[in-house]
Amino acid sequence: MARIIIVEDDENIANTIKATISMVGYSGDICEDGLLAVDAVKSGRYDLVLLDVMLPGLDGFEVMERIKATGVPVIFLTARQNVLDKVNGLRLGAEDYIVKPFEPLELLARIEVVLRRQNKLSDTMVYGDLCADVSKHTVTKCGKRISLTPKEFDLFVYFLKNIDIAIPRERLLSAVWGFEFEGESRTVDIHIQQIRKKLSLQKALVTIPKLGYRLDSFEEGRDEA
Amino acid sequence: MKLKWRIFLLSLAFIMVAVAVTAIAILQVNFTSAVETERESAAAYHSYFSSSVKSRMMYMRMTGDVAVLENERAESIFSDIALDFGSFGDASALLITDNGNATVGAGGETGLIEIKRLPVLSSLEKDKCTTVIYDVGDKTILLGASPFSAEGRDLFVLSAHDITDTYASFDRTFRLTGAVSIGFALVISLVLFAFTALILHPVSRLNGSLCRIASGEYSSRVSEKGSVEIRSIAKNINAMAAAVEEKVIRLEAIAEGRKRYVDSLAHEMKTPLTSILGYGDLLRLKRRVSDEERLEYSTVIVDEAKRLKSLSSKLLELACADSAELEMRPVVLRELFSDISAALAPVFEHSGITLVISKSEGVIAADRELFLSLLLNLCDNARKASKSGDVVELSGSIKGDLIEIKVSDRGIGMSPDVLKRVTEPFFMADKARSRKSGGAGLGLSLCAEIASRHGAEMKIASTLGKGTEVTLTVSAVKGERI
Repeated sequence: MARIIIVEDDENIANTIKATISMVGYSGDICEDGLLAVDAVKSGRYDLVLLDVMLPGLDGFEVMERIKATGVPVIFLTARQNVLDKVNGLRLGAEDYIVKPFEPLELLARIEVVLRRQNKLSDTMVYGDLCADVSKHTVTKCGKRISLTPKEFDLFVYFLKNIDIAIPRERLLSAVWGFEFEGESRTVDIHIQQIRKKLSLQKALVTIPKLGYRLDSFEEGRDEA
Repeated sequence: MKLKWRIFLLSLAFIMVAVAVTAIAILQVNFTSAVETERESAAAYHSYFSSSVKSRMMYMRMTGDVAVLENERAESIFSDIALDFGSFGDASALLITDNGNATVGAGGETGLIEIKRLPVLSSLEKDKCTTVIYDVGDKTILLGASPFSAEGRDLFVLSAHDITDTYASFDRTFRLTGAVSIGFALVISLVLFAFTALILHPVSRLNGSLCRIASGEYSSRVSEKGSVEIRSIAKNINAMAAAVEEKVIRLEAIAEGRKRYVDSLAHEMKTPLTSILGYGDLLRLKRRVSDEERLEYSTVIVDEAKRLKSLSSKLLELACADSAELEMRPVVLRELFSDISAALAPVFEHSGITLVISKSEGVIAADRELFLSLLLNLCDNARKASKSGDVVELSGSIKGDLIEIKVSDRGIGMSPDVLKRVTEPFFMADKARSRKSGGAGLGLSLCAEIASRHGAEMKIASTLGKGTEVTLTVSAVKGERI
């Protein structure tokens, strides 16, 4: 899985991020100092840099300048909600710019987009005998194709990316239907019913009361009954 | 309208009127005297005529040897004389009549004589030549009339004199004078215009500079050259620009400081919020959370929430120190210091640092609670900078009308760069250390605020590695030396 370096001087925030990314299986190393971070990134061990702007030693923008040549993608993390900062960061070649405080799922979604753009993630995801191909938009069960609508497919893939994490309905709405969608959370429920039926995930795709849904990690023989 | 155009047009108008009035007055006098001369010459002509008639009659009487000439003879003499005089001298025509109806004699262009222009002939004064002036065709005629008597008959002689030339020459002179005066007026006005422009040039230069200043170039200045008035205006403008520039710089500094304050505040709030939100969400969303993880996550959440709490209470204190009414009362330093010593004893003991009160003289006027919090803050800072076994010294001594309170330590000290920014809100010399001890970087800004509310001067002297000394200078309460 992808290796990520977290360059952040606040210990608690760094640990939060590490715990967040380890949920979906990324490994994370913490670095508190800008200068040390430059060396670490140059070692070539990392697929992505999460970079705080205000750092001791060397600030985030300077770190960015120095590691640009390595081609490792960078996402800025900052408490400063300044448009100029954002423009500055993106102009330096950052892939994204996240303003603190952020929600863990949002961070994961942004990381996923960057890693996929860099082809660091495989196109196929396997869940038991189910196999989803993101580039072809197909789902197969034991090699047999199962037809899903585009929204059902997106929803299923989103669950595959966040196994064992409860996803609030609002996040599913914004992730699959987009931020502009002002539909009801009923829409989500109906699609979930369809996915459960088509892919026989009645037990694995759990309803979390008052929150949303969660796809539990695969266990042999659970849904067969 | 521009000032120079206004001056130009006004002066042009004034000069034209003045020249015109003068010229017309002089011309009028000249013309009147010329016409008068014509009248006089007409009168002379008439008197010459009457004396000629008389002498001719006399001559005829003597040659004819009669007392009175018979009518026919007299009439022929009249008509002869009329013919002679009709083109004599400057006369163009002559007419002799008895009462305006019957012509006794005529000579010259009698068509020029219009009797109706004259008053009734019988009312004319004797021995005086009455004159009128009128136009016939394109000619101007002076008609003279005078009564005379000869051979027992009362007759009138009328003579026409062409004075067209007098009028024409007056007309020519009038036109010439008009043209010359307009020309002169124009020349004088142009000179005035140039002169005005020259005088007003510094004004437009000043205006240009003012425009630059008004458009925001507050550092630009007007050149102080030219006449005394202009120089004094320029000087005042420069003084004004300097004042504005100074104000703008100060306002910019205030705005910059405020922006930095808000930025820092946002940063200080977002940092704990990020951890709280992150760990909170993980606890909520993760399917399996181990006991260690739960403990770790919740500990961080509680710690960070405490940090927010301390930040908010410090902010409140700062706002209160800024706006609260101070209760100024005499405070005896000895009592104040013993309170401080008592309050800080546990923490100092815990850190293995000794608080020494070397001197405590005098009474100050202060809000006891706020001043206590100020000194507690300073002493605690000194403690944080010291290591186990060190000494922190607190002293208060009278210096004339003032009291000097000193808090000094022999701890880690500060570099000049740090020293400069140390009272800025949210400034932390060592972020990690401040955070761990729950600091928000507001302590010294609070101290500075309290000191300034008390009219006290707070000076910080520090050397890296050698220690820090904070000196507060407060005015003493007189007559109460304890």
